[in-house]
Amino acid sequence: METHDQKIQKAFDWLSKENGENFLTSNEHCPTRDIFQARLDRMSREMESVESLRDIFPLVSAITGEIGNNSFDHNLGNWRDEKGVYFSYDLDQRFIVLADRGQGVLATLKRVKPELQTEQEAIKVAFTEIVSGRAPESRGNGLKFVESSVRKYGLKVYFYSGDGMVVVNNGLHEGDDTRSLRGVLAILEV
Amino acid sequence: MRIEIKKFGDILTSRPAGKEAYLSARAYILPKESSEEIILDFEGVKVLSPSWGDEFITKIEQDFSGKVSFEHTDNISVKATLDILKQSSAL
Repeated sequence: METHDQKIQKAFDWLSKENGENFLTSNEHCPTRDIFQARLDRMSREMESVESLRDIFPLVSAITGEIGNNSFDHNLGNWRDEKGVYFSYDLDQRFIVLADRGQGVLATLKRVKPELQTEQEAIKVAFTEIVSGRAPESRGNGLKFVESSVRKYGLKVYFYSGDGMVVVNNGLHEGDDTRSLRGVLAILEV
Repeated sequence: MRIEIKKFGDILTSRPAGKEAYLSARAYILPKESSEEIILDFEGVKVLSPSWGDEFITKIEQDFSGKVSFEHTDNISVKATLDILKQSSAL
């Protein structure tokens, strides 16, 4: 069984590869939204059966759903190569990892906020402002929901996009992890 | 009219699923008259996310402006989703 560090390293390795095809196993790769949704439902029911997670599991599932569905919402038809998300979790170690080889937050938001220059700026905007790259649709509250829920219920999210990184717990903090990747990676600690 | 949200599922997280639920409700459940009171009843819902809510709840609020109320919102994901939809002025 893979450890916490191995599951996270696998996400970094996937996003660092020149070509992301044929790297993930079928158990951890969700190439379509339907497959992601089915696995999210299964994780939710597993969490519900764990006594220590029973109170918080609705929020953890909703947060996971928002981050994972963002990958499909913003990269449909625009993946670099391997489509879909890496979705792995361990309820005993109480963490969830999500990653995609998509265009990242800056490229997504720059179409509606052209003044954005860096991934770090774009991530902060994504977590703090109601703004969406999918204009003219009215969207953009998903990561605000993640930020407010994590802060309120004592969870923790490490969120990477390109060379940007934030840690969300009791607020939004600039991270000190200098690893750069191509795509988006999120680690939720419950 | 009371709409039991659990009839659309008890884990409600994706935008396409919310959109499909709204279109189905429009066709077969919601009244034609926009003056009717609508109660969205969340009893039995285990997980609700803003993406699903934005496609279903926000659309119904737009169709029945000021006539929509909520019941059984104790679940923390239901509460948090309604809060964020209110903050984004969707409700």
